[in-house]
Amino acid sequence: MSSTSFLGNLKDNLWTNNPIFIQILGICSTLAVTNNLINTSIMTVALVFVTAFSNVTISLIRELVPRKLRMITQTVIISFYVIIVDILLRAYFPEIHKNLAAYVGLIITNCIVMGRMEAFAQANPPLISFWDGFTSGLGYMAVLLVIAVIRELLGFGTLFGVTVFPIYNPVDGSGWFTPWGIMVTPASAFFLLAGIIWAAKALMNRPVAAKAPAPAPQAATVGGKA
Amino acid sequence: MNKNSVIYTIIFGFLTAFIFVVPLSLAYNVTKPVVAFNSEIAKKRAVLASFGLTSAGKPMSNQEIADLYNKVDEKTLDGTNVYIFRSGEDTFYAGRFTVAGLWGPITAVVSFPADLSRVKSMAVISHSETPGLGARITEEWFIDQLREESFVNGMIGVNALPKDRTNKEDGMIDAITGATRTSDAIAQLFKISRTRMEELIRRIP
Repeated sequence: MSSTSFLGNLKDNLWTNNPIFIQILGICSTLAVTNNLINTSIMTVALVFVTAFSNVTISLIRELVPRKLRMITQTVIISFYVIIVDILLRAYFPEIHKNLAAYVGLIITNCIVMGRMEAFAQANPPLISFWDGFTSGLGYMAVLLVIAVIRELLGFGTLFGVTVFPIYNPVDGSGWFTPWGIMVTPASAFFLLAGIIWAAKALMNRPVAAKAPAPAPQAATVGGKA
Repeated sequence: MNKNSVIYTIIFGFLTAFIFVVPLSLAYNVTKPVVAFNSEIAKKRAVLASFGLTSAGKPMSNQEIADLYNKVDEKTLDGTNVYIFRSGEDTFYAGRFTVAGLWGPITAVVSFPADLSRVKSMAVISHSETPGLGARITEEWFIDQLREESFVNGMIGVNALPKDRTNKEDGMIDAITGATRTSDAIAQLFKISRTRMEELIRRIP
C-alpha cells in the first residue's frame, strides 16, 4: 500500500514501490514501445492521464459501487478515458494516431491502471487518489524513458529521431556506428529491464546490508579448519 | 437501499453504462467531420507525395494541399481509383493498394511512370505494423531508397544487408532491421500494384 501523504506517495511510486521494477506491472508495453522515444513519450503521457483520471473517478464513486460490479465498473471507467484519448488523437493528431493507435487501445489492459484503482483509489479520497494515479504514471514513464533512450540510441543511433551516432554505410564509407540489431527487438527490453530491476534492488538493499553485518569469520575456524 | 441487492446492482450497472457511453458517443459524433476531413486530406497528401509533388521537409497547409491536388486527374475503373498526373510529355499513374502486413493490412498509394518500368514512389495511408519496427515504412529514408527503383522481372526484392542506394537498376531495396515480414509485404505490394495498374491503364479511354 502506498503512502497517503503526497510526498510519501511520490517517493513510493517513483522508487520504493515503482510499478515497473518493484511491482513488475505494465511489462507488455515496456517491451513493445520502448525502441522509439517519441512513441514512448506519447504512450506514457497517455497512461499518466488515464491512470490519474481513472483513479479520481473511482474514488469519487467508491461508496456507490456494488461489490459484484467493482471490477467491471473499473474497466468501464478505464475504457472511457482510453477511448477519449483515442478520439482526440484521431481527430487532432492524426499522424500520431496512425503510429500509436494499437498501443493506445492497449492501455485498457495495462495492469498499472486497474492495479492502482484496486489497491489505492478504492479506499482513499479523490485528491490523493488522483495524485497516486499521476505519480504511478510518472514512475512508469521514468523507467520506460530510460529503456527507450538506451534502445533507440543503440538500435538506431538516434534520440527522438535525431541522429546522434552516424550509421556506418559500407557503400560510401560514411558514418561509424553499427546499430545493435537486438536493441530494436522487444527481447532487448527484457535484458534492460532485468538490469534496471537488479540495479534498483541493489541500491535499495544496500543500507539494510550495512546495518546487519555478517558474523565474524573467526567463529568458523574454531574447530581447527581453515 | 442495500448496495448488494439485485435491484441496486442492475440500476447501478445501467446508469454507469449510460453515464460513460453517452459522452463517448457525443465526442465521437462531434469529431466525426474532423476525422473525415483528416482522412480526405491524408489521401490527397499521399497521392501528391507519391507523385513527388510534396516533400517531407516542407510542411504544407490543408489549403495548399487542396489547391495542389487540382493538378491530379482522378478516374474510377472497376471500383478502383486511378490518379493521373501529367508533367510535360510524361504521364504518371498511381493507385491505392492494400497488402497483408504483419499485424494487419497496409494501404498505400503507389505511383508508376506510363511504361511501368519503375516505381515512381510510395506513400503509406494506413498500417498496423509495430511502432519503431515495421512502422518505419512511413519514414523518409525508407521511401527515399525505393523512389525510381526499377522492376526486374516484374518484381522488386528486399536486401537483408545495406545496398548501394544510388543503383536504381538492380530491383532491390533495403529491408528494415527487425521487420523482415513488413519489408516482404512492401515487395509484395509493388508486385500486385504493378500487375493491377497494368490492367487498369489498358482500360483508360
